[in-house]
Amino acid sequence: MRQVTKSSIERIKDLPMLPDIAAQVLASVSDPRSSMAALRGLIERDPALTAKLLKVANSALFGMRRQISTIQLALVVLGMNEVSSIVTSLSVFTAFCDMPDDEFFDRERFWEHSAGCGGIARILSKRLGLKMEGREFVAGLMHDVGRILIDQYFHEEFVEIVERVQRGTGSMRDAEKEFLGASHDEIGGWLADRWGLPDALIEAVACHHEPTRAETDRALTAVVHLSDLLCRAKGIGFSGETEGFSIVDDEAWKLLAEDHPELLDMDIERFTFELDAEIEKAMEFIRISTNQPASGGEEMP
Amino acid sequence: MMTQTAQAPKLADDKFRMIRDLIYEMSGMYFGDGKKYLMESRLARRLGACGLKTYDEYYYFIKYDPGRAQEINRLFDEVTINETSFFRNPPQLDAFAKKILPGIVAEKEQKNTRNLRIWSAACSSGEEPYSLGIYVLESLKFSLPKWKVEIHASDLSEEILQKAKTGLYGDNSLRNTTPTYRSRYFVQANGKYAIRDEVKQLVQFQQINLSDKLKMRSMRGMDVIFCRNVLIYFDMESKKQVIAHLYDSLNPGGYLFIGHSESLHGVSKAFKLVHFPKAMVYQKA
Repeated sequence: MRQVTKSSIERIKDLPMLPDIAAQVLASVSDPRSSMAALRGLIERDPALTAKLLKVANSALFGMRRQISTIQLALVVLGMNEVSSIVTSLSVFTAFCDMPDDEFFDRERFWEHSAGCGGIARILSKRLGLKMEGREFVAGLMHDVGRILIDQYFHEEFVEIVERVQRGTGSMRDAEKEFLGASHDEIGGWLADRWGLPDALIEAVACHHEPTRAETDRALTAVVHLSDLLCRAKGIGFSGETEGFSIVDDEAWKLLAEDHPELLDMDIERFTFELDAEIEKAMEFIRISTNQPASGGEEMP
Repeated sequence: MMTQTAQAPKLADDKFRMIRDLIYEMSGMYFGDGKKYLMESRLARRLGACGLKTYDEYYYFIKYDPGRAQEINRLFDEVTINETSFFRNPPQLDAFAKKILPGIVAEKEQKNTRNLRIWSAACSSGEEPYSLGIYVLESLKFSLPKWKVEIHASDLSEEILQKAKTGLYGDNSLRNTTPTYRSRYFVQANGKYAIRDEVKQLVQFQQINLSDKLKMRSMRGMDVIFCRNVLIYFDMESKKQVIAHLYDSLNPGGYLFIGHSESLHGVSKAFKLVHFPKAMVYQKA
């Protein structure tokens, strides 16, 4: 049996890498000397990224009243951090899009759950008035990428883990720890670290199952944890694993309620109903990232 | 099916949200953005019936008109899909059959108290309580003789209860029923499906008005209650009373199912909201 450690993950030669452009954008945003003009120049050098970024900025996810036609305008209206988050989100897809489906892992469903989680994180943070500037969407999108790494690089173990879960004996994480010595949240955190993502993002990915362990940005991790739960509650995810849960009893909910007492009076039922629309917006993000045509039908103008 | 969508005046997004919010406020029933086109055609019919021209006029009519009560009920009839069929709303029944029922059964096995009391409180023509009965049979299987199972089924209408008791159904009622369950739990004769006696004998029907305090108090010791798509017809005060009675009828830890798009927010704080995949259920603390 193989033991997965941080260094064994990092030694993998063809590990999916964050595209250069995303790394440069992240570096630029975190550099206090850098300017909006420099960031704009950086993004505009990549026409494909520019086109996708503008599509995302004009999608229902942002619900802008005015058309955002240039990167300059996107930076002014959304801010540098939000734009950087969009670049990172799009890059997550670029990094993983070449990895093929297999019979044990439905990638389409996986990305639906991931983007759905991002969309829910977005509306939840907005509702709480938390200025997360898109980090919540990136974190939601990335929270389970460790599963892809397990499937890709430790496939035999992955199959055993899936079969164990399907037999209904124990959780996915317990099985992962037993067969690999590390769970997908840890492994995802290592990748985020390797990619040089901000600490808060690394932590949100690594602690999304144990939100009380977070230290850097407890609210971000709590939001991602709850979004994961709520996304499963909407039936998007790995429902065989989903037990009933009470959101107000959840540790992450309690943690957020300490700073946001309005949560105690929140109409959770209505919020849950409303998530359908948010998830639909997040699916639009997937379509843009993967160059699929926009959905027709129920789309609101 | 009535399809008059072609002539329906267009329902703008903001008007849709206004009416959607008003319906939620009045009834606790929520219509997501995806239901806009359905609402458009249904509302258009009510507009026509009331002789009104715009959705705005209709909104003010149902919000302020002194004679609005009757129209509100008609609106609810129109916007709720008043269908009854076996295994209606699979996610709710999945939560019941795959999570809640096995949990209750395991707990009672352990405590050695093998009785199960379930109440279908707005049972209509019987599809719901019989569906629940089928799940109980599937869950208990060969240990059934060791259990005392009571499925209580009640409705306001004596007439519909008579139909429920006969247990005869057409194709339409069984459209969500798998071939396995069809052959296992129904007998087919003369183009109808008769529910088998092993299911039938689990269910006891009685007429109950949910506002009848005396009768409500006689219902005790329930493990699970289904009261779907009926609370919308009660005003806030009566609704609070009904819910308080249902709460009292449940065992500690027991579960209450209301309609899949209904909410008890603002009606009762006594229950704990539990999320299951695509289903919210209320649990007595």
